[in-house]
Amino acid sequence: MTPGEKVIASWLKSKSWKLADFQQETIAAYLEGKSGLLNAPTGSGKTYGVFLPVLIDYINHNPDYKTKKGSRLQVLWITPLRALTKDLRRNLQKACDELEIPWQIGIRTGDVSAKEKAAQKKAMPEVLLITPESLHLLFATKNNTDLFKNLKVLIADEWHELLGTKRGVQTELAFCRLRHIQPTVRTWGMSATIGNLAQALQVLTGMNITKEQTVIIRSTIQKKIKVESILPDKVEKLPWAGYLGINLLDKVMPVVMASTTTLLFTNTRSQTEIWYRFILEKYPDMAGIMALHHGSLDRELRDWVEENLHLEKLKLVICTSSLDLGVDFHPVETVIQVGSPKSISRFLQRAGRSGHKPGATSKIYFVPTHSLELIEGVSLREGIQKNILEDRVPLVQCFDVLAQYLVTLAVGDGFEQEELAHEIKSTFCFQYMTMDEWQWVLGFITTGGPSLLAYDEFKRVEIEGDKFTVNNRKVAMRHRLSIGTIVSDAVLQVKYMGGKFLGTIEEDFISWMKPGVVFFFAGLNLEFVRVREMTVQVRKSKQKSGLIPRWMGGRVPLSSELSRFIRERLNDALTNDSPGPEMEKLQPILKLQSERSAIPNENEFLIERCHTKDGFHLFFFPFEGRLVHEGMASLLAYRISKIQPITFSMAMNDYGFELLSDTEINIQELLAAHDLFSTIHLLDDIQRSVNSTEMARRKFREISTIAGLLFQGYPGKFVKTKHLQASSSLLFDVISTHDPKNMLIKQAYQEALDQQLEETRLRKALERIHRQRILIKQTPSPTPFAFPILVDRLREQLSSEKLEDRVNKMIKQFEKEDAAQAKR
Amino acid sequence: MQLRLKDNTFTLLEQKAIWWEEERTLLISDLHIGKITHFRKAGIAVPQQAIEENFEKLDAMMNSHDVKCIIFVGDLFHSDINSEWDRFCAWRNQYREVDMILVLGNHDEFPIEKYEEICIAVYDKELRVGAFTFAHHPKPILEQDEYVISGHVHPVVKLQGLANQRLKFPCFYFGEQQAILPSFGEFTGGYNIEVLDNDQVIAVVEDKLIRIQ
Repeated sequence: MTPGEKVIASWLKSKSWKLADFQQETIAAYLEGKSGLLNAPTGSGKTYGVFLPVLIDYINHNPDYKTKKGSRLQVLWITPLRALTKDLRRNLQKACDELEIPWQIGIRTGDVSAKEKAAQKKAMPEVLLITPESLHLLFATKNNTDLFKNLKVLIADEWHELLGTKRGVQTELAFCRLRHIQPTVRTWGMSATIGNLAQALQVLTGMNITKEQTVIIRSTIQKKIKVESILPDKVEKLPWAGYLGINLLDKVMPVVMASTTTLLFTNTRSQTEIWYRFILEKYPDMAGIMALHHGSLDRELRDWVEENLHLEKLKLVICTSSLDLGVDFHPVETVIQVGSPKSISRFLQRAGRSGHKPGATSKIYFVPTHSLELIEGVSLREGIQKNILEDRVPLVQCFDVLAQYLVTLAVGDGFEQEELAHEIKSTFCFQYMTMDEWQWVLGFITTGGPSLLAYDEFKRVEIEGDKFTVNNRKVAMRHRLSIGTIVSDAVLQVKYMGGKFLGTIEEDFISWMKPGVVFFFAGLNLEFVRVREMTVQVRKSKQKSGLIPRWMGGRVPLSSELSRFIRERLNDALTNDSPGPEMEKLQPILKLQSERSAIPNENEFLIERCHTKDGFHLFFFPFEGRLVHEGMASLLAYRISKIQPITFSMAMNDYGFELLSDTEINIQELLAAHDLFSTIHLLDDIQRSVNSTEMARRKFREISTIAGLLFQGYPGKFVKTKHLQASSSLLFDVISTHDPKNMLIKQAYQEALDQQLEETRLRKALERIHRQRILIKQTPSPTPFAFPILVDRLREQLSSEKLEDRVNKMIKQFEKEDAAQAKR
Repeated sequence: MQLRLKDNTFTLLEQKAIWWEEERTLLISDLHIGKITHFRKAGIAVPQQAIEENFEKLDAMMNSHDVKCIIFVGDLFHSDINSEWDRFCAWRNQYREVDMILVLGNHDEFPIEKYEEICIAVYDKELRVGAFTFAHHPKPILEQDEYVISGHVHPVVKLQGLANQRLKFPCFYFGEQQAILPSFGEFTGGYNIEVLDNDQVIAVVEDKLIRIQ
């Protein structure tokens, strides 16, 4: 046993703690100098699992560890959430204090004052807890390289949360920089269970490390999880496409009453407000022992909720993904999920928020928000039983993040291009970057793309000798303010007249509000008084009814793992006599579906035709999730529109999609004559469809902001985001027209293809449909399957008619309506 | 497309300008010269090629009409002076025989002498020619018999059809006593306008003009 291990062992003994197997393995691997990924559930002691070996190593190398001061920065600990840092600091500091190691644990996030940050730069704490953004900000300061010379280990907490995001790419870039500054540094990550742990490890440690130098350590602690659906008495009671599930409230409350503390997860912030409001109305006794927690609420309020969760003072907390992560709330006994969690991993993670006592079973209840979601209850249970988990797919070739990072380095200590290119190619994200691509990014930040005119005044990064640097102070300041990859909609602060801050709300919601209107926010009835600059001023209202704010935010699509289970369940429903309580409840709906149309078995693909006053509807049901349906809808629309001039509007949900047109389509004939579901020319056809341009245009908003083409504004200054939105679209048009080789435009198309259309999944789905028999049903009115799609108002368009013809047709339709109205 | 207003003939051009026959005058609004360079100076890489597009469109109109005068109804130049001004001066020099007049807009911020140096007459708020008033902002209160031609709002018209179809185009707007020009500049956005029953709206659809109402 090494001296460090002895010190730790006696400390553990004094506390009568015993190391778990995975903790012992981690210590051994760390002391061998390995890097690795630790996979253990929350609450199992993974924080100490990673921290103790660091301390052991330090004691081993510093026999005078109790008196030695000024060891400088030893540990850099990245966390995805600012909120996690406080608890983490407390735990780490406690260990150091008890072991008499005079280490300081520091926090450096957006919440930390400028004064404290300046003090840190003078005397760095030994351990720094930091977000990816704040780490990049540190790179944008002068002489930052020196800060990292004594680093021993890089740690990424909740790595699965960062993986697959642009913040993950930021982390990759930062880690490869630090490995370059301090080549002996080790890298450790902690991750919940995901499908691709091995890949997660590779992204974390970079491409320059051998397999022998890394290890994945899994804890053998298995949590028992029980899944139960809350069933409606009668299935007709459920709205077909409602987003609430609130009418199951009376069945949900007994579950809440039976446990000490319950977390109720909803999929959107609006839903938390709705649930809070309904419960307060119907169960007034809950006032005071129930709280609301979502990302738009004031940090102080959220802290209060978390504090009281610990203290067992709350019986119910209604929350969104804002409580997915982080510290454990031991009193939580029960978790309720309202609406489809869309993925088995997310469901599992939420389930894991309950039952922290050793050996306890985590219990999670599923509340469907519309009847078809009952199928998902069964599927989630099966997915968990079979331990099938989704992958977190890492991003590649994010040139927007790279451009931002290069300017960051240029604002800081500057860089030399050849050396840096080498370094960056050691990341997973940029391993296949070509020299042409690299030169383009350098050109983008120095000359602003191809410079054709003599009188150009582009100013960002300048080249002095071999060094890329930023000299212009305005450019540097603006860049520091824009570091980050989270592009948010413009939000307004909600404050009482007296100035107390409540939270934030989106501009869209407030823009059409008139003074005196009452809305429900943070669980309060608030009267809108006025908007002053970026602040919505409100006062308390006694009025009972009010509006519920909506926060935009993408709808999460169904994962392919979960969709496969749903298809299997439907197939099963046709043959199985005892398919379980959820499917039995669903019988009336399934019966109506088979009467009006059909329930497809696994060898069939269902298409429904229907005519209403809106036009001619075609419904397709691949059960593949929203994104794949979006891609397939625009693909089919494009292919049909090549055969005859037509305009479609498209809608989709996780089960199917709709093509709506103002003239009838004979789908039988079309399918007989053309292979509409072919995978040949798939990529070309998708790229030519109008929608890929529209999707790319939307992706470009984030890309252009990250790459510094759009400036989100100075904090506190009123910059309208509508203006920003228009500008990103305008930039997209102007750049597409005048600089078609622009790599950020290409990236926008690629992101649309990979993330928006999920091309690989789309291809697989088409191949599957190819093997199936196509079933076309003409229905007199929309079926249970079709109805939820029909009422969806978020629509896309695709057209092959001449723009001029479309305008003329719309004008004629408009006149016809006018004439009809005049007659009445 | 031609329109008669107060016994005068106005031809709408697909370049998003108006040709006033009787006065042989071009009416142009919201050109925003200098905007692209203004962005580039701030380190924002808007492609330079878009600058030339404005001048190509201007030249095309100059070549196809016998122009005596141009009235710019505001926002000719975007913000501070920069090198695009030299490009504009060179263009101005090509057409020395043409009178050019600017009615100032909210983006026209730099000294008036600069315009006067290159023979552009500047009017502060409005300019009256015959029966017409030219101003940058649409006027909230109108005198009797006044007809105002303005810009500033970058008007866009939204169309809606069956089966949830939606389209958006820049447009010319003609009301009872007021007309609004679409923005001419390449790198400018647009905003929806409210339209009354008797108003006329003509959309610019790619390179065609289509009467909407």
